[in-house]
Amino acid sequence: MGKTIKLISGDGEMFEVEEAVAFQSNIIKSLADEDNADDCIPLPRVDSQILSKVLEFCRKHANSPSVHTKFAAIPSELCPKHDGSAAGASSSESSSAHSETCRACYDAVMKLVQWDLEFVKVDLDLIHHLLKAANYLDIEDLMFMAVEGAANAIRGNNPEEIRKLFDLENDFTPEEEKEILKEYSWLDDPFEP
Amino acid sequence: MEMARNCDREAEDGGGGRNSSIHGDVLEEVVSRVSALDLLHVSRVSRGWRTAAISSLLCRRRPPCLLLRLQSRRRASAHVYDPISGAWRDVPIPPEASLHGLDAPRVAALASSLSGGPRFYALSSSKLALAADPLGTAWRDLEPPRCWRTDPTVALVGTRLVVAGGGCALEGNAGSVEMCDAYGGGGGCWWEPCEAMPEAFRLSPAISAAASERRLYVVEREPPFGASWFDTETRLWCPTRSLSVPDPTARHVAIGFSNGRLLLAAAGGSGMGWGWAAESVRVWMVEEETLEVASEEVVAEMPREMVAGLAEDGGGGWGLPSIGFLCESGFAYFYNPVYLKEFFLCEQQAAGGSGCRWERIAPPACVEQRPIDRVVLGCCQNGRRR
Repeated sequence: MGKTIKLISGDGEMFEVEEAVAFQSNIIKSLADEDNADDCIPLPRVDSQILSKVLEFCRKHANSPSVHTKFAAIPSELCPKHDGSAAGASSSESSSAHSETCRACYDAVMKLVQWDLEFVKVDLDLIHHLLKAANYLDIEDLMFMAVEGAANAIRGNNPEEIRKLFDLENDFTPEEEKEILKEYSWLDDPFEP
Repeated sequence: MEMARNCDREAEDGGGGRNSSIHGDVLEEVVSRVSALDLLHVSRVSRGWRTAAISSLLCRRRPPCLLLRLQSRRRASAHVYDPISGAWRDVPIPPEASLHGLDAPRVAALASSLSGGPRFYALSSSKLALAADPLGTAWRDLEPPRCWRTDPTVALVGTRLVVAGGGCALEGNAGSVEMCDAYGGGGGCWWEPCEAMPEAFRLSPAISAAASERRLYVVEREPPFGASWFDTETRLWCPTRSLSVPDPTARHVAIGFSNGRLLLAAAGGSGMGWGWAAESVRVWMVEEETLEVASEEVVAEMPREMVAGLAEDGGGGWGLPSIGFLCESGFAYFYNPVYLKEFFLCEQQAAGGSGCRWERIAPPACVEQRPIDRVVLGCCQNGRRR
């Protein structure tokens, strides 16, 4: 167990986690970097239920930070066999070539991606909280997946269903509504004669 | 990913409505992840969402439209299906571009590597024309190839027009191949004879073709699925090989290029001879150089109920005699070329996403109203160049 960080949720619960887990949050990382004698970081805006979900995500991602934003470039730490000497022009090129040839790396990333997709198959309320937390704590991968979760809720639904799910109001006037219901009114129709 | 920190302020009001989380930059992020097929719905939710949908549409590549021409002796019409709006639109054709009538050249589809370029050509014994735009609302006349052909394989490989096969076997021209620069200056086009098609394709009843910037790929639509490519630089064919389709029950295949990858669609099923019935349609990638099929990864698989719809023939007993497959930029349209009843659109999701998304598309009403007319199909991402 490496160096740990103590986090206090908004409702006063204490979470002790490894640095690698906590530092996926750029905010926590910068707060910890400041001269902080007792290593205890308060997070007033995140309550314990959400924070524990966030930490569950971070724990899973501890060895592969930013996997979503850098999908083409897999960190060499993922693969025990990779010795960092892959030939190739740019690092992202060689990394994606590496992932192509290294089945273990590729499988590990795909497994992580599958886990992430399951992680965000939760109700929209939780997605909203995760979005807020990811934004507040600045955790790139969690933000990416929370956005994916919200996008999933939209897929295949008609406007009324989307409004219900996201608790939105139809703020079009009746005239506007008539306009937008015409098929091409807002599209840059590529085949318009 | 720069996020506006508006979420923080909203959090203070004690959770006043979920919508406080989804607006501004976050909403744009979310909408950018939504399929093009859902954008219309997104645009109708609320004002803020409509703005997000419009700006998302401007930032992304549009899914390819399905182009449909109905040709008969008496008239021709053109129609376009845009997946974003989910609707067909009639596109008027000027009389001189309709190419109907007794002496009219035959309009057919060509394989093309040019995005936004023509998808149709017209050929008769004395005339060749290339559509000036994807739908063919205008045509460019070209010098016809030297050999008279019926039903050749035609492709635009880069800017070169390649015409292969369909020649007269009696004159020894069955597999002849000619090539010209369709966009060279001077209005004419000088046809260059090239290495003839490999033996396997000369008398092949049905060939599926696809074009990259440099090569024309051909595959026999039926077993043994002979495949080869023609290189327009070297003017030579590669040795023919039988594609090893991962599905041993496959009876029909077709190929196409999408996002720079050569794809193979195969219809498999059960039964023998006339009793064969299609049960599955799957897509794999094919390696461009070696024509190896990447059997480990099924790129797309059609849902069972849709395969049944594809093979539906109104009791005529045809089943699925061949597979219509048009693909471009991560989307593919499937159809039954002989008994055209429905189209099936497949959207490939990005890696790690939730698999492919399938939708059924009814053809425009005129197709059913004019059952004798010939349907010519193409698909194209960009429309008329502005």
